[in-house]
Amino acid sequence: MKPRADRFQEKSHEALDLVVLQGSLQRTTERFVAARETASGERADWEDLRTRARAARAGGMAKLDLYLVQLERNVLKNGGSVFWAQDAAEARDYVIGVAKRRGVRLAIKSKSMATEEIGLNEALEAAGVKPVETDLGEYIIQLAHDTPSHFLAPAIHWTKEAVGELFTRELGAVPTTDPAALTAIARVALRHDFLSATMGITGANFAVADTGSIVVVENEGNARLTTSAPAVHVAIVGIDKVVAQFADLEPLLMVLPRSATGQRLSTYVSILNGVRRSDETDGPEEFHLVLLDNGRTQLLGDPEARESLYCVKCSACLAVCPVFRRAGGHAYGWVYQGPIGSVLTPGLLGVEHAATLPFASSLCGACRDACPIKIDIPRMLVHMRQRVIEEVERPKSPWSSWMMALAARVMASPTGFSVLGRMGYWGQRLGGKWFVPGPMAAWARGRAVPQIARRPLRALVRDR
Amino acid sequence: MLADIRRALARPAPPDHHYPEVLRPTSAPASATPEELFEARFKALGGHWHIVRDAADIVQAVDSIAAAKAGLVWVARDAAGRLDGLGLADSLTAVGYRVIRSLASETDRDAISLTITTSTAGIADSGSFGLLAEPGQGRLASLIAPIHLVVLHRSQIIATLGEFLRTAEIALRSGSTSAAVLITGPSRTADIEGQLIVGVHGPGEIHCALVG
Repeated sequence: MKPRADRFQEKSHEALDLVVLQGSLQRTTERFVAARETASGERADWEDLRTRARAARAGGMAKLDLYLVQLERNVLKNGGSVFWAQDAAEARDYVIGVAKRRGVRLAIKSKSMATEEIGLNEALEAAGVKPVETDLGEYIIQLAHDTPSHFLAPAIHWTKEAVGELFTRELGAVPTTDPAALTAIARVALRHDFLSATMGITGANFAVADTGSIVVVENEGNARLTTSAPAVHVAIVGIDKVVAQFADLEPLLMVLPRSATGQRLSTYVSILNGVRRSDETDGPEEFHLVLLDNGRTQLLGDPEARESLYCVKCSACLAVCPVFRRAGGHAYGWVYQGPIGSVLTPGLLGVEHAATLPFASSLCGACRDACPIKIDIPRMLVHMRQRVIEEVERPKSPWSSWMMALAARVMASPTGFSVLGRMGYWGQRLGGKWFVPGPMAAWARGRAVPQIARRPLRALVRDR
Repeated sequence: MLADIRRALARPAPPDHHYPEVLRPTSAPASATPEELFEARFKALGGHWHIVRDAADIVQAVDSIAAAKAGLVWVARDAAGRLDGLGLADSLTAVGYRVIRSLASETDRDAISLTITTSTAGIADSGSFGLLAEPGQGRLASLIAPIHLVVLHRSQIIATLGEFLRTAEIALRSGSTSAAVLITGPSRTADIEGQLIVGVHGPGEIHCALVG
């Protein structure tokens, strides 16, 4: 997936005009919010759970170097292999190498944002391996050559009518718009692939350093099939997913599903320790853990934004975000959407590739309150805005800092401020309501310019 | 890569104000017994509930599942030998069910209509089953058929997820098993317009036969 994370304004405007999308965004985000509130509300210890979950994530990150080495050692002990991939290309090449060596023609995949990040499907296809997405949402996206618009519910922007047409066109299915019938069609279509694929590819929600366990959380059962049936299992896992100890899983597994879909526990949690034992009849014969950096160390090295890596991808912040609820996921242009995406994307890709995203927020703080890990997203959005100005905008337009310096001087001087106010008023009178001169026009685009009063407040107060 | 990570970590981060002095362990709500809570939460997920004493009762429970007769019934071989101890396979065969005990390579996977397994634990807090992969009861036994029936002993019901995780950790560390899995209700998806549909890739129907 080619990052196009620098066009938020255009893309969000497009989304606002899509009536069907607006309806489904509103419906689904409201449902997510209600489900989370019910599921967290029934826990008297919810705040404690959030604190414990945060401590688990922060603890893993603080000594990440140590825990990654420990994780590697334990995965090897469990009969697996570990590959350290610095970037997308290294990760792709490694997976293709394993597939070639094992003669894999068909690989089944469960939903993984890490594999979206590295564009694994395109690379596998080019290498002669057919990748099949098995999560229903991802399956729809793959059949339609679309991109996910929500990291939890990838096909949130699809209607049942459109899915029906797609299945008829691509699978020759009998036309229907009934979600139950459509789901059944996908089950049948994927069943054969599940049982004949020789490679299963997953991501992971967590990787436990002290046991070498890979934890995959899901609802459909497709990730379980992916890790049970094929001879080879490859897990592509961001280095940020590491937790120090097995016991850390308890608070994390309790807050993640409640925050994501309002479930007390997701339908299936698989805790996988490498290859099948000699007396076991299923599970992979070969297990590969690909530890993916792909910009994470760069984000780790920005201490102000480090806690964005604590994210467990529950999507609670998307559902409560007034911007996401209108703009939808595609406006964010990459794998991670919503408030946390507006920090992760510039952090992972570099601010120059996602300069508009940190500004796609009203800084209302709903995301911070909804986050099960108490990640302070608004603070980091402000930090990222600062980085965009310093690293992208200022070098591009040196006059912007002169403008700011000038504005500071003017605002510090009562006379200067008053004169500027008068100029603004007459400018609007003569030039029209939307008149904004010269370089400020760029600022005014996408903002509602207030109408300046005829008489300043100071004068009104004086005359009372 | 590690050297880069160490360099990145060396930069001081702002202090984290969220750490409490003491982290309290999670406890289950005290209002209901674990058995009552497990039953209520399992049923709330759409689970089917049977109280049984012996194999005859389980056969009766299976009889109540119309779709079971259509195909093969896979009775797993759990390591503790509970299902064998009940003589369940023979009882089912005696009344005409086509029973298999393992997943041979020639078995048509889609012909299996029901799998019967045991579970290491029933977790009251979430209405979940906690299973460990065992030689005769692997990862697929609880997954491959449209219907899954779990034979659970009353004494196996525990209050919290944490208790199961401690059991699973010991088993995984010892190397005796390669996988632990938590199962909470039927397989489900809400990927088409957010509408909840059960039975997508895993079992769409889950039953608990409680013994004791």
